Amino acid sequence: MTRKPLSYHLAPVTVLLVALAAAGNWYVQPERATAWAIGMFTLPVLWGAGSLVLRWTRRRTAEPAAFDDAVRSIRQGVAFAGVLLLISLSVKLAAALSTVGDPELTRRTTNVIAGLVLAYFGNVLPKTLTPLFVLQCDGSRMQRFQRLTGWTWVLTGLAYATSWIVLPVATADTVSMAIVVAGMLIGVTLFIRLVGTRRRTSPPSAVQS
Amino acid sequence: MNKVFKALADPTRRRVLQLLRERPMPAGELAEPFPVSKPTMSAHFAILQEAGLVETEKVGRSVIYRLKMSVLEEALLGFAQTLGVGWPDGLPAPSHDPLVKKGRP
Repeated sequence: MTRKPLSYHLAPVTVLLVALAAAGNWYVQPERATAWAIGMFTLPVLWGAGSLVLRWTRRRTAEPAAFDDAVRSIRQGVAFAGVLLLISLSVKLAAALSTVGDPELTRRTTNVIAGLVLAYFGNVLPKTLTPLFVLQCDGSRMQRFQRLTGWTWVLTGLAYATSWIVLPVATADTVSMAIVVAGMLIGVTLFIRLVGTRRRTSPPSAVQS
Repeated sequence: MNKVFKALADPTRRRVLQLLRERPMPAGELAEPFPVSKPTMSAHFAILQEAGLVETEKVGRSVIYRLKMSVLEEALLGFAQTLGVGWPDGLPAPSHDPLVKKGRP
């Protein structure tokens, strides 16, 4: 019997904790009921819908491995989103109950999480490989593009999160936006360079630089 | 993560990753600069693949190796390379590098 990964158990636990945190917020701040209801039901609804679609597609595919991968992927996504929501809702609840002194803590925490999410996706970007025969340019250019874009987003995300940790809120607002704009400009420049080289070069072999 | 550390602990495997950072390469071309036997290189490739740092793809009749490193793993590679992890004691790192012997930095 194979041992299930942590995310397999983490997904239902986080969904439950998110529901509890949203219920707590609902109780403390009933005037924002819609927001808490969305927070409470979004994950279970999306998870359920994803599972239904998977069950439907399972009848049409004969690849159990692909099905297992898809189930694992959905559970990991739910766990990841659940952790983010849980942190955000917990901080909001703590702020509403006045157990934290800093009134800007909710905003800071949300933005730090946003920065870390950006860094996380930048980190895994170079690991998502497109098959060489599908690429319209040579593999080395695409690889360089993915690596540079990954590094750009990791550094942008970390700088964004750091700015919200160390700077005063008013300054962090401006600085973090400037950081994201700079990151986007670098990303767009890298993409334009990639597209430019694709147009200039005739279809090359997959492995040549 | 243990597999990644194990893969990065060996200078030959780190050199393979550095070569793949330039471009995807066929297995034969990738193994060529290293003065070790084919089975040894295959073992190195297997460890890298098991750690999820490289991926193979069949193109025509050749097997192409591609880098599959996250930003964090690449940073770890840089650290390991800078610190010379895995070099034999008392031997300066550059002279032990098989590619330096062949005149390829």
